[in-house]
Amino acid sequence: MIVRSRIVLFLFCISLNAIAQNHIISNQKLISSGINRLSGIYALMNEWDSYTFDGYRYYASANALSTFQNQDWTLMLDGQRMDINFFNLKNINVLPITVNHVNSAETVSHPEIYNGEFTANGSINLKTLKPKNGLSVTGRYSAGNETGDPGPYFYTKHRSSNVEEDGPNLSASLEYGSENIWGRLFFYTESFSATDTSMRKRNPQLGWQDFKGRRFSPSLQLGLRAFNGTHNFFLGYSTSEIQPFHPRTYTSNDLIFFNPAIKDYPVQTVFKHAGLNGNVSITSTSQIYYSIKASSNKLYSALKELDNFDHLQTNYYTNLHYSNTGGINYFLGAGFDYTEFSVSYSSTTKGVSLFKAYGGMDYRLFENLISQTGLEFQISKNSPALKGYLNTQWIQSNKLWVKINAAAIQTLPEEKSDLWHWIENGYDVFKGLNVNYSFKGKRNKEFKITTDLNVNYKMNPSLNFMAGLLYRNFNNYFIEEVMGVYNPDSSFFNSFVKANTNSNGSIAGFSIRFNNKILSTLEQSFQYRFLTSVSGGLSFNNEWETIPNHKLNYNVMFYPFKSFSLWANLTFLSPVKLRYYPKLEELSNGFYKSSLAERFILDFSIRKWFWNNRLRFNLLFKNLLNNELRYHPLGAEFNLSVFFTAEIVFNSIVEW
Amino acid sequence: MFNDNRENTQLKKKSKSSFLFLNLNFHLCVLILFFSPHLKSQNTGSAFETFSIGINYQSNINQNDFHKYWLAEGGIEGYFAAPFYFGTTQFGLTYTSFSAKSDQQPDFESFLFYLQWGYKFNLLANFSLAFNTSTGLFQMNFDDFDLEVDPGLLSERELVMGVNTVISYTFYKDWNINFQLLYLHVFTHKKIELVNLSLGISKTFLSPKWLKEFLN
Repeated sequence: MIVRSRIVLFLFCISLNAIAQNHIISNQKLISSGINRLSGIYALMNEWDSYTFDGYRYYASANALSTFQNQDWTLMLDGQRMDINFFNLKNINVLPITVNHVNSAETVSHPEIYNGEFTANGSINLKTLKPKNGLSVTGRYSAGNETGDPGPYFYTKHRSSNVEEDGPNLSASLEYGSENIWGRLFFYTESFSATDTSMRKRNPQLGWQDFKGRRFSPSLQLGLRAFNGTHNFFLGYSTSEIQPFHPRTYTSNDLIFFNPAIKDYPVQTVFKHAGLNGNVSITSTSQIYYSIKASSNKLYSALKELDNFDHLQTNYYTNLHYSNTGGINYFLGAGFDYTEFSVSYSSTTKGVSLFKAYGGMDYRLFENLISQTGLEFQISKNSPALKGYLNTQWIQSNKLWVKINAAAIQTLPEEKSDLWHWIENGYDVFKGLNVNYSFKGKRNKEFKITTDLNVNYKMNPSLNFMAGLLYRNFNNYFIEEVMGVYNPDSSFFNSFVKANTNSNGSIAGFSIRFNNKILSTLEQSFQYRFLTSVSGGLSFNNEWETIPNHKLNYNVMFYPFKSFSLWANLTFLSPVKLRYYPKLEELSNGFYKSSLAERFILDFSIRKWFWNNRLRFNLLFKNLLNNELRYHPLGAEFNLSVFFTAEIVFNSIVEW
Repeated sequence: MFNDNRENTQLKKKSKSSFLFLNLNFHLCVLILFFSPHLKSQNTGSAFETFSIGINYQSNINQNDFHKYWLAEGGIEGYFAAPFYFGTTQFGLTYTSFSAKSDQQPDFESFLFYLQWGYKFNLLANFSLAFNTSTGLFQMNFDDFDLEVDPGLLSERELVMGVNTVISYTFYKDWNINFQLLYLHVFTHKKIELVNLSLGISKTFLSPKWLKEFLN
């Protein structure tokens, strides 16, 4: 009887952690993969899709919870929400931290309440490494080079244009660690260029220096263990205005692809963040979690003729969460969000207030059936919204279990606070950009239903199989339909945008996966995912065709010695179509295509550490097969590229 | 038209058969190397137990489109090699200057920084044979002959990959004479392919404890 109850307790503990199917990318995987920027993490997240125009800024979609247009997934750093979004752009590289300070990345690919946030569109929580005891110093250099430069042939009839380069990217940190108090002072400067022919051809108005990017990102992290809990303070700043260590000063250091105009604009961007979060234990089974932060995003044009393109978005946020694990597991919470939008051409400043209250509990209907449910009520000045989820796990044995995640989510237009929300509220964001647009009706609450069924079979401790089905239904889904007609004389696109406020449709898919630890030093994983729209109008289907129907991934990690590792990742992406550019191929004389063929991408990384792990070198080859690789028909083509990273780490040089 | 097609087909067949012949030869060589009683792997020692320092003189021997524009002068290579966890590893630097055949192109000098990994076998007497693969960065510095060019283009770097085979002869204690056949592929938009022969000398040392600890 005692043994049986222990087994039940064991299964219960396992299930609570696993119901939500959060995926953790370990430090070992992050390190072995050799990714040189935070945006490289997307390549390690099999349930997520991503694409890029220029190799620097990425768009992500979590487990088909949204299309690439809605970059509403939640980004967190040590559980603290980071609002780096501007309009529909979310450049994760703006975060003032580098990948070598990330201990793990936890991805949430299903709706749930996670760190006080309803993850309707998924979430990534980057957990930083706690500094070692005493005083530590770290330094990092990384640079990348895409192959396909003209080389000496530049001076011959075989002349071709230059291609992308990445870096040099330099970072340094000064850290202090002890059991109860720790901190990290961090500096990061990075540079990149997007000089691909397809990007230059689309932007004949820009000089070569406009394609260069620079960013300076310092931050301060402080941690404290006190008042029966842990507390984290993060002060971050990231700007393209300052260019340390670069002798030449350019007028702009950032370049955004502005989808409604189908054009790239040289801009300056500034991100500021100050936040505090933590937890306090009231009793051995109850805790209070809190989070408070203020942040701002500034985005303005570097071109004088577009001085009206100057926007500032400021956000204030607070959340209080109570959790009880004694007897009945439940949590309750409330939060407040205020986002303000101001522009240079108007003294009007408008803001959006959102208040939320939520709660949830874990319960068991039968011995082997454990459920977690959560409900969030949200209200703005105009209307309320409800979001709810039910995650259930049936544990047949310690080898076989079945998980069902279901959610019904209403989303307010104010929650998105995107470009179109501010236009609807009277801001002339397109002033001077020559964009024609129209609204197809008033924007309403979106309503989304999501269901996921996953069966997991653990054949033995080193071999795990998973099969899953997913279904999503969208109502009043907002789609920015950008129709672009290429003008061969000017090389520009004439765009017309329809803000489609009430698109409906549904998508379905399935996936299979296995993870296998062949040896204690050799791991492999395989995943296949199929996704397609099953109902909906033309614009809905067109939008989902930007995500590949078939995605296949095979990954191998080999770490035979403590100071040496090899990593390889092969991805297959099926063709995607962009129907918004009629006669593109014909008008551009075949230079641009409105679809992308299937792509095989092989990445390979070698890592070697020296001097008892103080000196670390990494070589990462991306697109080793050197296949034609684009992620967007108008974006850059990425040839075989090599990235080199060197790190120096002096841990505990002075111990206190 | 028909004849052209037939010729093409014959050429394809011919090239296919020569490819098959080469492929067969390659496999035979591999089999011979592996099953020869004289062959013994030199890669069983622990990593970085010893290290070698060497210098080579390189000479370019092939001709292709690249050589219509530039002539490769002799190159000098310096390197550091050591047994790795499996096989052997090496890093080095090769300097080569390229002189233009016409005044329409600039002269340039190249610095090849490379990292190499391979496998080495003992042959008869004091001979050994190694097969290696390498990757590196091919830095090209062009003469400043055209001022209208963006200054950034006067220096370029490009990925290079290569394979080579080395026959070594230990002529005195830890001193070796090395003869190398090297193929390099520079990943410029129009590829640069170089086949070099090199001759050089190297000396092997026992690694001091501090170096072994540093490298491990």
